[in-house]
Amino acid sequence: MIPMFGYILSLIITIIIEFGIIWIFIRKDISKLFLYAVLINAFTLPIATFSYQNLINNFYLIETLVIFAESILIMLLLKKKYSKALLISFVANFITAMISLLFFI
Amino acid sequence: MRNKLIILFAFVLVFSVFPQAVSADLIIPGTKSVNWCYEISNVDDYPNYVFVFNEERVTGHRVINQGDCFSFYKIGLTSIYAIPKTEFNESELNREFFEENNPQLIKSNIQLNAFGSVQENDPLQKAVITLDIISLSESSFGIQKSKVTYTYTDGTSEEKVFQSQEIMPEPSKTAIMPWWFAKFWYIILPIVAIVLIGIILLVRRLKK
Repeated sequence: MIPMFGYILSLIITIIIEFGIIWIFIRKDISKLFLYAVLINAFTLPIATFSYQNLINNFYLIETLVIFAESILIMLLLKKKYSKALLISFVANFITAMISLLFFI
Repeated sequence: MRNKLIILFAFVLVFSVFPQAVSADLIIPGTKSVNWCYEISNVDDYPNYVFVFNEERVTGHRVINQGDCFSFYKIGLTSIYAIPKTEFNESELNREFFEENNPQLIKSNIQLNAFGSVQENDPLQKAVITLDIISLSESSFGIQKSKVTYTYTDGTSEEKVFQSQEIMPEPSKTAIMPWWFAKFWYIILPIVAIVLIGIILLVRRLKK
């Protein structure tokens, strides 16, 4: 597969999965939730891939940083308590990380 | 005076609108230059000779000592010469000295080329091409390219041996994606996303 399509595909898969997880936790305003999932992942995924390839070659550390970064964005965008935002972010990123480990790394 | 000012203003305007025009001779948009140079591994094995490279257009000539890593103007053709130490006088080195019929010069069998440029997002940072002197007599001077040492942006390096004198061994690490996509993926996409998130939060606050 041409690498750039791999990157786009990984972004699409991540958005769909994380949107699904957020939807399980917050069952309202589906179009806004999807928009937020797109924006959050469009921000964190490219930075995470860059960091993994060029700065910190540690998958688990980068995933942890992504969980914290996304939890802040979820808290702000979805207007949820930080503890709940952290839980959503943890579950969403845990599942996408498992998929990455199983299929992509 | 007024005309000169108008011309100057036009230049500044053109080069500020099309900044890539300023560096057109230096670098192609989407590419970066690699820090490259040539070295000769066994200069010290020939103590009776002085080695000099000459690039006719811009760089000129320079004496090559053991351990020197030399580079030259990127579109210049460069030759290496050996001069018997007994006949060498550095003050004589000038453009005329390197003319074909100079009996003091022993011209090497190869011409050197510049390394060129790579994609902007390529991890290659430096290339050192090592040359070996394989034969030297009063009438002939044989050099061969033995290896190239690539250094990457992550600090790692590797050596690649020349299988053919005409073909530069490929570096193992290259750009994963086209430079324009790398720019989109690593810079534009996250910036656009965070700006839109900021706008959403700002609009929400203003509506309160």
